[in-house]
Amino acid sequence: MDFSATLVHELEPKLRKVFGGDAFIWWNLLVVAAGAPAPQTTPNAYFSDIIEPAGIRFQHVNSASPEKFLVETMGSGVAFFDYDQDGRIDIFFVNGGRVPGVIDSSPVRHALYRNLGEGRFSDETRAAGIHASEGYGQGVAVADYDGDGDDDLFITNFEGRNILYANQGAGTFRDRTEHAGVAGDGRWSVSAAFLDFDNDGDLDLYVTRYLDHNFGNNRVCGPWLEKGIRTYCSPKVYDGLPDLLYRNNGNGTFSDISEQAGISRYAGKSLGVVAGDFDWDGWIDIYVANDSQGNYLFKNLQNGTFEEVGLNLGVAFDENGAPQAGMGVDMADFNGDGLPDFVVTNLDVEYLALYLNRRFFFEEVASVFEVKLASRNLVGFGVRFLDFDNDSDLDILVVNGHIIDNIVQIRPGSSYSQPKLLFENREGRFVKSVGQPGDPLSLPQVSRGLAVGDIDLDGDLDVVVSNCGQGPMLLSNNHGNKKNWLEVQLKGIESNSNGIGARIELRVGEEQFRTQVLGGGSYLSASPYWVHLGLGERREVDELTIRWPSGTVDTLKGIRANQRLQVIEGQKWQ
Amino acid sequence: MYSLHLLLVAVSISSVPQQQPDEMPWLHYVCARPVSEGPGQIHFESGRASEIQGDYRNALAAYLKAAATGTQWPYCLYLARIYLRLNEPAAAEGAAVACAKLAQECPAGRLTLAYILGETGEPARSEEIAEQIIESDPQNAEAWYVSGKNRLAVNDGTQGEARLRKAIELNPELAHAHLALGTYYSQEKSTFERARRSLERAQALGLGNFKLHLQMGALDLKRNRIGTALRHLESAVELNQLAPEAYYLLSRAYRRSGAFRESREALDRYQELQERTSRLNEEIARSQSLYQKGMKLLQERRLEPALDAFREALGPHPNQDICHYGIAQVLALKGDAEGAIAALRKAIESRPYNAAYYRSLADILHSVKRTAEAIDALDHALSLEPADAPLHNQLGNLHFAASAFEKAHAAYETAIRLDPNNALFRLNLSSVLRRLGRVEEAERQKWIFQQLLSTSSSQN
Repeated sequence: MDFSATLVHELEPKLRKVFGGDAFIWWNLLVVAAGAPAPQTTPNAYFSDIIEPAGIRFQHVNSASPEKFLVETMGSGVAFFDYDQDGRIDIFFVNGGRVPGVIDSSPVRHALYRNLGEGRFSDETRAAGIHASEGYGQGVAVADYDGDGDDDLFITNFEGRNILYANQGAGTFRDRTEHAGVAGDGRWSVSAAFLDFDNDGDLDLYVTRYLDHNFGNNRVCGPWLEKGIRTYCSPKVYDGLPDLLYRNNGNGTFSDISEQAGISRYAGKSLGVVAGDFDWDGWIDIYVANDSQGNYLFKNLQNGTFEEVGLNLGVAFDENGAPQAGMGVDMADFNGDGLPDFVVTNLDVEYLALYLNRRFFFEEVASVFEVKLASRNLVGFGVRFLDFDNDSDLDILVVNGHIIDNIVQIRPGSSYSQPKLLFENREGRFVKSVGQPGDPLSLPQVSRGLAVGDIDLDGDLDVVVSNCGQGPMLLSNNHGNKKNWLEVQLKGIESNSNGIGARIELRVGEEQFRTQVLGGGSYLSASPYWVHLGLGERREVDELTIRWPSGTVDTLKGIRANQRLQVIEGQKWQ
Repeated sequence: MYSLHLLLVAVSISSVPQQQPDEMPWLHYVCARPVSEGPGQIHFESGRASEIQGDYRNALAAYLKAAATGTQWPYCLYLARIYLRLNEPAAAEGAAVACAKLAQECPAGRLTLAYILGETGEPARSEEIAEQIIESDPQNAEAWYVSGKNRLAVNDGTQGEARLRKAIELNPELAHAHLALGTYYSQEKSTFERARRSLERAQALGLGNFKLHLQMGALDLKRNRIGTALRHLESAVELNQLAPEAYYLLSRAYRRSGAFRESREALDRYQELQERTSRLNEEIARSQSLYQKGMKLLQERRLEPALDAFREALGPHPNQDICHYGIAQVLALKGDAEGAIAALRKAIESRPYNAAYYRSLADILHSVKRTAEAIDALDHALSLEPADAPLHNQLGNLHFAASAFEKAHAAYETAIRLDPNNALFRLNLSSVLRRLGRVEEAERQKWIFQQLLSTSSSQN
């Protein structure tokens, strides 16, 4: 069932009047049932793939070549975001690019799809002023960097400048890269996250960089003794690169402060990044997944600098101290103890790493929470904690696909395309959801990017997956809205506009929950900053406290379930 | 030539002291004459003593000396394992392949090969061999054990567990099967209790090595038994002071116990070892990439850059035999026979169980008229591949060139016995018979050659 919220903005002024200027809006009062085109549904499957009926024709171009440039297999990202502020989540797909030796020189285009409601999308890429891919497209980050009230786009590249598109507010974007000073130096940029690391109310930008590799220094790789089989190289054959941290100057420009902030001291092989407050001290920290070496946890020292504490706090390596091939990453309190934990996707023969926050250090607990064996034969990329069934605990979705396209020649039984993994949180352990025939999660693909959001406004979380060299998957949630939920959208005034870094505490009777608005997460991808809370059988939240990065604390009381509300920083509450 | 007389009976190498159950127990039941009777006995005993003391480099040197006495079997089994312990998988595999060929009727050689393939990331190839052994001998507990480990390596938990259980059913004292099962059970909370029982059983069977203590410590850490975890991990560190994972787990256990200073010290030691390991892994990966580049350039006949690539690939790992082999191929194509011979000798030095290297060496020695040395090289190759008909034919050619017609005759006869329908071998035999004055037999062989040739032509 699809619901539409087209009237939200028309009625918002009236609602404000009704509620005396209170800055939360009972969006769910407005939703009306609307007929959506029927997706291809498998009975009892948690999700249905609606990519075709949605009218999305995007195809990722990876230009796989005999030269086996590593970037060909890394995929590109995807973003869920509401670029036209109509209350519905739109989709932006990053596309790859051409590689030397590939004859086809036609432009490779990113794609922006506008959500029309009723399960349909229209391609607005050209109308929005989005150019063809420069370089080879990798990741995407979304946020209102200029504080003008709408979300902007940042696209990272391999062998090309990174690009910042400022949203002009009328469904169009303008390339402001050079003015903003965030092009980078053309070396391999991957995931990116907006965050306000200095709590000054504007959004800074963190960009992960992978390897000191380009089309000109490509290496030849393959197994030692099997001549004639060429494979994508291990990251071990290239040097890593330091990541970039840009401080927002508050005037539409940024300054590269990687060195003074203590970031450029670490030449990692970074892929995923999530920005969140792991120690709940009110200052946002940065967690970076590294491929084939230890992950970084940059603790915010509250003075414009960071200290790398990954090894000391136990989030750098697997349970035995072995480096893994970190790809995607996310952060959330999955065991309900009030402390943010981490998840990192890795290679096959490794496993999905779960780092449990024990206040002063972390423990890698994949085997204790029973995700280790279930994830061992898959190569994970995009990952998100999400409460897909709204039962009030956090589940995990991982999208997979091998790195080596000819893996079957080297390791019989393995495959490039792989199914996705959905782990349901069941009282202290995660249970792998076993897909039935026809379940889209079981369909093998070379999946890379993953974003999560409620695209049909029906109260449960839907999913978009970008695939390498293939079309994407758009998964509509069939089950989640059988239980209660609450969605909160923050609007910063003194704090940054997206509320990134805001910490949210809920009290329902004796129970307490904590969450926060994160920057980045997953792999190459961006999800909306709307905080989705599954409530299970609970019909009301007694108290909702928002601790803004500015220090402002807002508290709401007696909030009914099953609504989408916007909270504006520092407004009065009933 | 070395001849192998398989007794096909279990012979215990009683002269070697054994501390605890071996991860390759079949090494103690070799299907050949007792090691003590071989000419390499002193070197072998010295190698075993070094190995037990953990001095793997000296053990390797001693085993190589034992093998150099001409009696390859069963030293190749130990050589394979020592290469594995020294983290030289290609050399380990080479020695094990040679062993498996030297004693095809004896499962010890094939089991060793299967075990080594499994341990070096080739579980599918390992499983093929283990399955063959199981098929011919379903009561072979060690084969079930190797198979079980392979299944676990490819994440086939159900089969892996079942096969390890079968191994234990056939031989309840197979300590390493209990260890493997315990390690598997340690990966899920719901089977932690079973893991504990399996690991304790392995310990009760006398196992007390690094791996067991590490696993028991890691499991106890997950089960929040911090005191016992500490004891096991301290033992693990004592048994292997170069293993970063032991220090990492120990650091975690100290931290959980509140011993923060000790935790910090263990973490520092871990970091030092881990950085070394990571650096080594990167060097190996880069060396591998350069080798592949060299091979690509060689195929394109771009000899100078190929040579540069192979030499750069050797870099920090001068024992990389295949890089020396690549260099030899380039130098041979450039006409630098002496350089090629030197490179091949280096390849052989670091991997003495590869018949192809001896064969190439023989070719190039022959090309510069050093026939006696070429024959010697081929003899080595044949000691490794006694059933290789083209090798016998090649040996015949060398003897023929050296005018040693009787020896050439014997070599051609052997080649034909192994491959009776090879026309070329018949023609060579005919030639040598003519030189020996046995014209009638020569004519008969020539007639067979022509028949084989015409059959072959009509088939084509």
